[in-house]
Amino acid sequence: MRTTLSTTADPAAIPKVLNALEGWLGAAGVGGDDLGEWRLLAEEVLMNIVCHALAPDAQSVIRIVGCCGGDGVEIRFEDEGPPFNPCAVAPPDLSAPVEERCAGGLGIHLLQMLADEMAYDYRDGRNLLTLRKRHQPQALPDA
Amino acid sequence: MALVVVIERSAQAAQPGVRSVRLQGRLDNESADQLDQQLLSLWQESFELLVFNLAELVYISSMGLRSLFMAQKAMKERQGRALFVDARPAVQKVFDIVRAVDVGSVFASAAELDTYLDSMQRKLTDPDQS
Repeated sequence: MRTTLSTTADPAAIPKVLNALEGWLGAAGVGGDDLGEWRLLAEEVLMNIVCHALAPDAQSVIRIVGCCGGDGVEIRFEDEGPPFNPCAVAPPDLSAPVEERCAGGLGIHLLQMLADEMAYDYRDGRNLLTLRKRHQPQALPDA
Repeated sequence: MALVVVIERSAQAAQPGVRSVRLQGRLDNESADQLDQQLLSLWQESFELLVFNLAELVYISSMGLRSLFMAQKAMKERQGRALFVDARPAVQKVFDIVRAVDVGSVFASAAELDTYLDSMQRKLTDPDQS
């Protein structure tokens, strides 16, 4: 089962495409913790692109290609911002007291920790970030 | 799913130095600013403990974490503390990954938090008590 979605590089447009992605995942049979974690992964990727890579105008479009198979889900995010490889970003310093830390870099760290696989490529002027996640076993309903 | 922020005044009456904020829904890029704005009124008041009740918070992203970092920092600056109670597993998982809150600030249930607040109250009224 596949889908292709797109959104403008506008923070206000992100919830709409996240809802559409969640709807597709639900229709593909993804549920439970997987559904929430995919929404979180997508939000972090999209907000990173919108806030750091693309100018907020209607010309900048982010493309999202999803594929759901028997063992998991793969989603590719494509944007035309400057080359940026989230896989190469060092983890933030989490050792400092909470009150002294800034929230920068946490989104990419969440991607690195929650996705089972993360792959980056830059082709034809586009960043291609592919995330994969295997289906988690669903809890059995109470008898 | 919008975020609902409920600042509970009943808890304030029971514990004069405590303010309680109940979060319902999603704390994300769409709603984090809403929480920041609603907390602004609280910063005008005098209190030592800010309790976030997370039982009905179903989702948090890095933008939401940023708001909670700011709240913890604001409490530290006024010599107080922010506490977090009853986080759902999905939210707790995000907290754990980014170490978003100090371990000593997290309570698994309202009962556990009440026990802590009672012990704090006893220490205030009887400083000799260990």
